[in-house]
Amino acid sequence: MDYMTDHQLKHWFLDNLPDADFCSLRLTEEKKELIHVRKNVLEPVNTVEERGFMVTVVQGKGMGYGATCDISEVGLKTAVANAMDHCRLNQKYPLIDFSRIGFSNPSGERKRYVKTPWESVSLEEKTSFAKKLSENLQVSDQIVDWQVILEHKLVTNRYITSTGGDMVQAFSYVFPKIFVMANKGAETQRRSLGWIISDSRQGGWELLSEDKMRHTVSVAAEEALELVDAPNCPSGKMDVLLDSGQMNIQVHESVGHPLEIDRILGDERNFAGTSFVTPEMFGSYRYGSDLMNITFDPTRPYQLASYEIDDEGAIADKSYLIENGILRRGLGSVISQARSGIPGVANARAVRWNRPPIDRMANLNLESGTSSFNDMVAAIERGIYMQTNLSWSIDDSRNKFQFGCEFGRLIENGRLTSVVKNPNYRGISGIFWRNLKMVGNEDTFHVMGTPNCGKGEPNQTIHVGHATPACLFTDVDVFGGENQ
Amino acid sequence: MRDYFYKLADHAFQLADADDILLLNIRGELSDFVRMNNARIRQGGKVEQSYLEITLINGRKRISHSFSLLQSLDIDKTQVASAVENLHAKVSLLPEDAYLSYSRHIHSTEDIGKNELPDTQAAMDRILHSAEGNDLVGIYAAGLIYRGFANNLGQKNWYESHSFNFDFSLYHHQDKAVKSGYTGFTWDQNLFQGKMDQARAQLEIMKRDPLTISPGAYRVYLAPKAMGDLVDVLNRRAFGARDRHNKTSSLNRMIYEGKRLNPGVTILENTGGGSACRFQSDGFIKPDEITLVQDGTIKDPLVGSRSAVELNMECNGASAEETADSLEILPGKLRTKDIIPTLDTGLYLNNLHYINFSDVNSARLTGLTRFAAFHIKNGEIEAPINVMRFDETMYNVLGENLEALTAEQELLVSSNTQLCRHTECQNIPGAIVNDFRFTL
Repeated sequence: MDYMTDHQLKHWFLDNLPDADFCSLRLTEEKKELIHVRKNVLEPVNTVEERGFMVTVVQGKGMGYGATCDISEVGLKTAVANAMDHCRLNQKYPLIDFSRIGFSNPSGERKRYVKTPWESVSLEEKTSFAKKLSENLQVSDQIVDWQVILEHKLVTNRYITSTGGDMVQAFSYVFPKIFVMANKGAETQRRSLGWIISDSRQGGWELLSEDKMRHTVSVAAEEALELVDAPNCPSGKMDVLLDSGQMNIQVHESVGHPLEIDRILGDERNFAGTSFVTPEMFGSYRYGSDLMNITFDPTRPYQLASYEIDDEGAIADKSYLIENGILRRGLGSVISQARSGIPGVANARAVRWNRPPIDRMANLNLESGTSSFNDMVAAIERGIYMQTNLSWSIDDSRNKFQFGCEFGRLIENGRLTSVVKNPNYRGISGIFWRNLKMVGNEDTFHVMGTPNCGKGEPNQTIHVGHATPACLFTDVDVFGGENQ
Repeated sequence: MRDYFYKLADHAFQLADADDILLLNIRGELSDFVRMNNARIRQGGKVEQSYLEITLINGRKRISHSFSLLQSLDIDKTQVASAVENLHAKVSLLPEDAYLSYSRHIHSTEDIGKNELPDTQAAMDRILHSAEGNDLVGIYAAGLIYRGFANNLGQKNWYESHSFNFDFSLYHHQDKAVKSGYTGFTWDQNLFQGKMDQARAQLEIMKRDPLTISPGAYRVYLAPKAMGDLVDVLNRRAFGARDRHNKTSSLNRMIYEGKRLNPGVTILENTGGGSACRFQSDGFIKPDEITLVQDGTIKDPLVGSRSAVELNMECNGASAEETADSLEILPGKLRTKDIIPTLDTGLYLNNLHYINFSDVNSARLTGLTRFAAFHIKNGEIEAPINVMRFDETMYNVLGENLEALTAEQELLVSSNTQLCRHTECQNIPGAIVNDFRFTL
């Protein structure tokens, strides 16, 4: 048994194709480095290298997959046999007629988007950078826990088909995370960067600007201290102004997931849930106010989930899902489009080689509007400005949501005033989006994302990109923490 | 894989310098995953994956590297040699580890389950024939899971399990459905059929016209799965020594202000009675039992190896996350047959959904009803309810508003397949709780 190069693997695969209508080989190589400083102490540095592949076979109405990290002739032969076994089982109980699906045969190469490669920076420099940031977080004895995490991931995907496709895509991701906790008595409050919604992007060491990061940690520590002395967020119906970070999760949970066509088709009903969106809504349903424009956009090379083809070979391009508030298109791959008849996008994604592609969000953005931040504050008589997601929850049809943020500030008579802790709000997706009153301009627009979007059976936690401006919503049910 | 792992470990130990400590951890699986929708197969396949992590400790410095294995001895030995060489080259660049910790006490263990699994095709035939006429959605995951640890002090630990987990729902219409599951090591057709019949019976109730209830406080019965869902989220930030020390625990008010739960509540990490792996990645072994809450009062924390050094405590085998892997709530006295008569009028909640903290300092959780949630009136099931959001503190659920825990617990084996199939479990009773708050 010999270790095979990509080239050998490709040729063995193509020379030994099973008796099937279509086969693909998706080979993934991943390298990760994790630098973690907790309370100024460097945790053990951890690196990961993995290589594996998935063979997918389509024969008649059936499809099956076999995945292994055994990159050898024996491994490939076994994976093909396993895929064929599952394909035959699927033929016996088919949900989908896979013979009707036309898969693409992409070719070419996508190079990683990076200026300063992560590996060109020494381990000492990276650990020292994280340690310095950590030291800047400890500004008071009331700071009881603080952490800095720098994670880098280098991924190469090669997608080969039995019908002539062969495309390589390379990605370099940086996931910076910072959090700081302040305490007084039994009350502890957090400020963070990147814990749930992050500034993670495709790129290299250049993304970690020392000045910007130092400023961020200093603000985070001071705001955590402010929060432990702050009163609870008031309760009542009022306006809320959400920063770009919180808008990320609002879009993610109440727009992204309900538009996934596999959810609409019921695949996720045992796990992630279903959707209040039904096939007949596409083309006419008013999802939000006229100001709401949602795009699937894989074209910004530095955004977290930008790519040229998805994991089933479909070419990715920018599309409007919601235009001027009207639902136009779903988040569905080639397979989901064929099953549902709903127009979709190239969003079949797998978290790595050992999981099959399913409908995912990739980059899902809210296009910016024309209002400045000051215009939006000035338009509010009584409301809350909420920053940085802390808590998120939504029902299985993606209707009744509740979100909590780390940091709140009252807005009174058009002016930002005092800080409040535990700002929470809840609502129902459709009603909430139709109450979108103002959309921030480019100055309030940030390209971000989340590293942890969970879905699928078997489970897959994948990174998705979001870019949003700050937004103003009216008539929102706001409340704070428990009264002690 | 056990012998293969030990061969790789021996090879690594031969490459170690005299003053090196090497810790090796392996994890892997050979699993079938068959996903179903509308009682047909949506997506199925087999995954074989195996990862080795090598940790090098030299003096007070420590570094780790993980990689996927090909399971070809010569090639994997080469990978091991290359990893050890690279770790040697890098470790000198690092500062000393202030919280360096690994088990110096040699404690070898072996836990190997028999392979009595049904053939996947046969299992699918049984499942899908039984589901004919129903809208079944779910996943059948089955196969081998293994974990191993070895160090060059002479410790060896091995865990190997051949299990299946069929996690499923039967749907009536839109979100009206019943959730169930069947897990085990050998297929018992009668047991499986019983689970399907029970789910179908509940599905009949779900066909009644649903009630929409108003926000407010309700008397509820939380079935073991619903209670397990709540405790699962609490477990993420409740019992760890680090959270307790840093005052970041959701149970701060119990730890620092003497707040107590209901005296009938005792919570354990019951490794001896659970299905989770007994050893952790630094070689520490979990005791059979750790009492986390006793008679409503906070007790021992879960102490990971690094926290043990940082906080000058004894490691009790907890993972780095310091969460319970075999969490048990001891039972109460309410018999299963008495649940609905005792509830009398209120809500019977089988499952909860998407739970998260809404105020960590008050252990307040928000989430939603899901699947079979019924309105009970005068001791009779009246109708299913439409989805409702709750927002309630665990100090009420397990504290002053807790009326009764059931005498029967349910063993809930994790259906989590994140990265690979998991081994955690919970052993949880149901509970009758007063004034459980619904908000939307």
